[in-house]
Amino acid sequence: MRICENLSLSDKLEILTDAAKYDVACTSSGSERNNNGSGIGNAIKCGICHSFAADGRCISLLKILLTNECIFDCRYCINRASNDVVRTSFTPEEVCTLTIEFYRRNYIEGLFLSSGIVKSPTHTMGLLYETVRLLREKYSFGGYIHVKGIPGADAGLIERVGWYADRMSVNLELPTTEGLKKLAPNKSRNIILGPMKQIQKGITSNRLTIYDGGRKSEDRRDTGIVPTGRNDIDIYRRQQRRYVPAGQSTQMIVGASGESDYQIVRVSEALYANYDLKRVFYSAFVNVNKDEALPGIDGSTPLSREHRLYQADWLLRFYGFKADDLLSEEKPYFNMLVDPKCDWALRHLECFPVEINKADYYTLLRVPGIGTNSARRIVRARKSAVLDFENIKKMGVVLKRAVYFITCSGKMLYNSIRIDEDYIVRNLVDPDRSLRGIIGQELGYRQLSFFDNDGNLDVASDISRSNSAYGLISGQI
Amino acid sequence: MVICRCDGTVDGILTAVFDAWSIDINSTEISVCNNDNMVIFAEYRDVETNKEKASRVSRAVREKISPEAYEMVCYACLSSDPERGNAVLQFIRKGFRVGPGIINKLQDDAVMKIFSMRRNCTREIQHYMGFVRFRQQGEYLLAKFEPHNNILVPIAEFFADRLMQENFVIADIKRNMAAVHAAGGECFVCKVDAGVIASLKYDDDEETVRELWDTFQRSISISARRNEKLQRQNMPLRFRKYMDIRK
Repeated sequence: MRICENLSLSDKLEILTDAAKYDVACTSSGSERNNNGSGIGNAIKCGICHSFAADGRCISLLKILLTNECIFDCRYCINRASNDVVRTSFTPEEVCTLTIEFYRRNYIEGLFLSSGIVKSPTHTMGLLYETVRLLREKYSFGGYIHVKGIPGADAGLIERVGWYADRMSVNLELPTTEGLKKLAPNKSRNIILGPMKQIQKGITSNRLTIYDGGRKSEDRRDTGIVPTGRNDIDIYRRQQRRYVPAGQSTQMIVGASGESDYQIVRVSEALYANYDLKRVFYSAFVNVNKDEALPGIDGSTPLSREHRLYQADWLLRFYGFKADDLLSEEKPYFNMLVDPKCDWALRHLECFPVEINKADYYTLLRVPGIGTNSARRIVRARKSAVLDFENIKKMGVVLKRAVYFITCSGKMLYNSIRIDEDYIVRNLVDPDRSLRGIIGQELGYRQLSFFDNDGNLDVASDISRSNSAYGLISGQI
Repeated sequence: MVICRCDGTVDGILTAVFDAWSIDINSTEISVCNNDNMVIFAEYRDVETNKEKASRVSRAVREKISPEAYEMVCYACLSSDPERGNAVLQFIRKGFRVGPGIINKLQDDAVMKIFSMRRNCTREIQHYMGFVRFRQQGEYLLAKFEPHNNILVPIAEFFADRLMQENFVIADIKRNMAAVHAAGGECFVCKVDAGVIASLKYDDDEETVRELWDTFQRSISISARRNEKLQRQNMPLRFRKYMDIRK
């Protein structure tokens, strides 16, 4: 292991950013507070993206490792002990300077601080604690801070960090216990879940004291300067500070240990239910170490799989879906052609079509092409009028997908639409045949091809030909 | 038909709404720019912005319709749409008839118009909260931007809280306006001479921090996942003019 002592700040930043880039959670959402009056920074609920990297991912936080030295040897990780890479560390002061100087210029929304394990988990957690404490107290920083909880660290330290951070996350690393055993020999499921449970309990009890105590919580400043006494947890409690106000998240690597999408979604569902997580992040596996225990060199997981998992994740959190609605033992992987919600709808055609002017909110939410915003707008608008397709299109419904599943006042948009799985899949998937571009105009014709052998050439047979400017050909060949 | 010409600011449009009421609501329109194509057989009246009239309209909207409706009207007034005067007039007129429920009647074109103007405006604000870039200029921080909508005031308010202990200037190059904030003090928004705006040149002794930022942006990206199309979709080129992004 090469440890370089005299690198410039710029070199360190390059190395420690590079080492942190596979961490996926770069969100700055969940906290809302004003400036504390003496320092710099505030936080807004929805989070802010400050830039986008060349891979298209959002840059919201200064995402760095405190050090890339590590005593652990996890096979998938670029910073594992057995890798021969340049090792270096930031001092807490350096991290603070970078954060403040970037923040003043509005480059970032705050700090995302993670670390390799130096000496022991507790020692590392202590370093993280010193850094965030310095940033909050000496620099009076009121922006967003996300800190990793290190599994196996002293519980008291994790607790203290939580009083300074907005969000904490403990990495689940891999979805299955076996995978963890194989690929991250120094970690175990129980050691990871311990701090997660601890943070969850901390958040809950903090909420109860702040909101149910009947005290005046409006007067409280979230990140007011704390008297610098040692042992401070009681002081924080008395000050009614918020403990991990933006909640906790976790992340796992997808595709490194052979688990199915169904297993992953089940794990996420359990985490949301049992640990009150705000988010679970999925990281499509990139083979950086060429380790023989991992999928081959070109075995990197396609981003489309990660994308499907995120779609499913949203369905779990906002749309009232259960993991078992989406997948099952028999069908453990997502359909790569259509998104999970369409896929569900296609398997439950008996629930459709849905009448826009009558269906309740949750039924609307199940329609592909209708999201939480458009469903809410529909429910509010239809109190005073009967809605038609033109209305709901303007409200944000994606008719390209929704058109097969809805009626307005009992009518579908085009009378040629059939509620038939093959027909819908074909139109959704094939861009040449999709309704895109024709929506809003006359619809119902198809390009005739002599090489078409799918036997569906009767699609257009029943529509009125009079309005079509195109010489319509239909019927069987 | 009477066309009230106003200066297009929030107060200006609300004053014009007031005047439109006193003339004849059914045959009055509001125009927000001076060198518009003129309409034949219409009588043009120049409306002088009047705080008193504007605040009476604003109070009426808040009380007879709802505070949310007033918020929508304000954002719509900040929009760059040349039709915003008429849109606001029609919305308020309908709102007085319908009441607080008006903001949910998205099937109504007048409401949808205001709704989408507001959405356009708040989206741009949300973008610029992240994409505005400051540079140290001796004693103060300077930022320049060219927003479509007239969002300098909400942007300045946002940074006045965030950077409370900093001196900063945010310049809207397109409209020749600037927000000036003194550390720990108030924030002012004023019209600035075009020459003054042009003379606001960045110093170059900022290089160290900019290079650090550059290093960070380069290292954080995963080269195996390069996707410039997605980058452009999330951060359109028009935002990048003042963002110090290097190739």
